[in-house]
Amino acid sequence: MPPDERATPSGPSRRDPVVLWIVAAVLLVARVATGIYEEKHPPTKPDLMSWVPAGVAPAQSAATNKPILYDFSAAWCGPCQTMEREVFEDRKLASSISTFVVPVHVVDRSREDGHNSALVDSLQHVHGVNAFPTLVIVGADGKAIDHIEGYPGAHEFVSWVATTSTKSRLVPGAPKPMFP
Amino acid sequence: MNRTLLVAFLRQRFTSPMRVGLLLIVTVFPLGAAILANDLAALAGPASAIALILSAGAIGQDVSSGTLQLLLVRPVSRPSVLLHRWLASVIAAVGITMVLLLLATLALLAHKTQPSALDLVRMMLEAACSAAGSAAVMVMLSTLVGGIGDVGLFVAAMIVTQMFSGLAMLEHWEVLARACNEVQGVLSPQLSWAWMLHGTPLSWFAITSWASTVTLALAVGIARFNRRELSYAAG
Repeated sequence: MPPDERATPSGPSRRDPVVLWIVAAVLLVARVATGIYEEKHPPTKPDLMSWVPAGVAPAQSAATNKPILYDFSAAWCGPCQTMEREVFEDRKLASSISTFVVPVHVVDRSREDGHNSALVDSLQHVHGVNAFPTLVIVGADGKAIDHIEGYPGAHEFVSWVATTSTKSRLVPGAPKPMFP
Repeated sequence: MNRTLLVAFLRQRFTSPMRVGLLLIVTVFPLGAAILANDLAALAGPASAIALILSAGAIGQDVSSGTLQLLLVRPVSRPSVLLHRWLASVIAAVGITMVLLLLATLALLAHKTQPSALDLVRMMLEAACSAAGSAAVMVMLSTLVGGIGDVGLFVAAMIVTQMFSGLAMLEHWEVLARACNEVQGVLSPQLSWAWMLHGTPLSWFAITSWASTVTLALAVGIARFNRRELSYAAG
């Protein structure tokens, strides 16, 4: 369809977006400034997730018929902090996640303490964790259904949790949990 | 606003069987999951994917086919063409997301579950921001390469960033990890509205990050498009 010919352009057809450049430059400066400020004064609220201890999670998974979400993270990991701020401190998203999965927070302390607990090491080994954050959804049979390396963004993360957990519940005859 | 440019672009997008097929894939499964799970959370993601599908090849595909050379004979400026294509992608992505949310809400009501109005408003606002961000980035990439090479650029950038991110995590290189996180944020800009509707802390960094990414992507896209040689002799 041809464009509207009644609207005659008043300027050159390749006018540079000067206003857009100025706005973008101002926003970039603001982005750097707020980034530096929030690095020093993070706008945080308490974590709103109902984390379940790793040892208890399989039993709770079996009882509630929900898969387990393992969130492998570390204190020094920047994307993990972003995820905490954008998802776990958000009342709505945190409660949404809890309705779909049994959430388990597995924090790597090898950098700070020189070693991890046996349980953390074992979970990291079983799920082949070599980057943070790694998010693994495990079915009632103890086998990983799906996993993500890195923080994909709040929307993608919640959507992934919802679709993967729903899919897992549609698979009939799931075996007994690995850990009693 | 030139309505003809918007309608023509949307008509072109929705008559492509490949695009319609991809749109069905990225919408039907989350909708099914939302209905089965009786929760709207599964619909938090599709807006960005819809915008990417609609805006892929927005400029490059028409340059390669020669359509844009003919269009620019008409009294329309290049920035106007680019901005209208971006806007059309955003409007369509938000429209499709609204339909998905409406269908899911009806299904929830049929199951006697009342979704929160605040949640719906928030999901719409976040879908609009995701769509605007993703479409701006894809339209910008589309000015850099011909055909749907922008999809290749986008996927390659995602893979490379993911690889470097994994390396940074493995080696505990915080600066690289942070840089990868920023690049991922630029490739897929999102903005949470939880601060306004659910009382989470307001992050000005998140707001300025999203807004600067969108404006910069559009400015770069227009600047590149303005300097692009479109004559048949050039190709």
